[in-house]
Amino acid sequence: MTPDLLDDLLDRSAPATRTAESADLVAMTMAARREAIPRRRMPRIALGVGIAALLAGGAGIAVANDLMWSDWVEDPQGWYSFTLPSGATCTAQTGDIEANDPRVAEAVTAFYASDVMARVDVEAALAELRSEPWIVTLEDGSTEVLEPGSPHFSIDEEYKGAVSIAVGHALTDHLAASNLPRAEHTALGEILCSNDPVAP
Amino acid sequence: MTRHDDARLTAALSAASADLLAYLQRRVGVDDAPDLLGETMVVAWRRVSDLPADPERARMWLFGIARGTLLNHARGQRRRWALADRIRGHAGTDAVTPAADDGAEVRDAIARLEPDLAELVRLVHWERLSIADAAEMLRMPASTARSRYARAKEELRAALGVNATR
Repeated sequence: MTPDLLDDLLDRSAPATRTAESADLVAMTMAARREAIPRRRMPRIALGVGIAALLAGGAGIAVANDLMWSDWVEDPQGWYSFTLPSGATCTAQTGDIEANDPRVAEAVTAFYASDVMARVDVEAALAELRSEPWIVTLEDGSTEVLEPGSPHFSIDEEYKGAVSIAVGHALTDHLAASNLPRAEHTALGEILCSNDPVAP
Repeated sequence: MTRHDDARLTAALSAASADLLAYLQRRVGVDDAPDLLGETMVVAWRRVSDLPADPERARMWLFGIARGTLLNHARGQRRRWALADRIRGHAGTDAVTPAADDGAEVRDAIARLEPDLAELVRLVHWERLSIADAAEMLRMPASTARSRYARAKEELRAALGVNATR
């Protein structure tokens, strides 16, 4: 077929576009899901910690697999500890809390500085987790439904996910009690457990 | 929503979100596009039970939803997303396609076409859709789209002074 100059002109007339970070697009996908299905809505920090726990050793949110905290954890804004079904112990740390509304940042910071585990209901979160599909995005961009028998499922990781959900719900309750029911914020979260694999 | 639907839409959005963002950027600019992408995703999740099984049809379904958010945008509906700020911030340095100076004249000529003809040309040449897929997005029969596309190109040839072949 003979090339058509008009086709070339039309093809090249497309306005400039700019790429986005794939992690931001994934985050927006998950945020949209939470908005569309508010029953499972939870703050991003809880989701982030959950994914970090489920993808220990993977990409995305930093998860130390050499039993060393990331640099930002030298100055955490809060932490909490819990015990896994296997008996391993975990510590979660939170930092870099940011929000457009300073009242939100203050409320979130106060929450993580408190005795977080005294405020959460992990058993209820486990029941919630098992009532809906738990989907994670893997390093290669594919997704996996985590359930018994799936490649990345483990009962310890499920428990970590439940803790993250429970913490998210407690934070939501805390913000609602502070008259900040739809507070948007970002934060970093990291979990280290005594049974995490050690880097060679 | 079933577990299967959830996984399929997550996969469909993972595959299409960059192209959806580019599509929206070409229509409303890089500043407003991330907000419309967020709206597109919310609508997709709300309608996940309608997600086509075929991956290519699923992609076109998402483009159709994106077009709906564009129409709402044109009607004056606006919403700002906090997450969109991250995309706006990170999207400032990597231009995929240059803003060609000679493209302005062509874009103006396209804009002077009837709205449906103009959008048909944009979908085919900017988004690289087939005429059949573009017709589906514009909710018109494929045969109608083909004849309108041919008419649009003839009008553009005349407007731009371009011969049929080189």
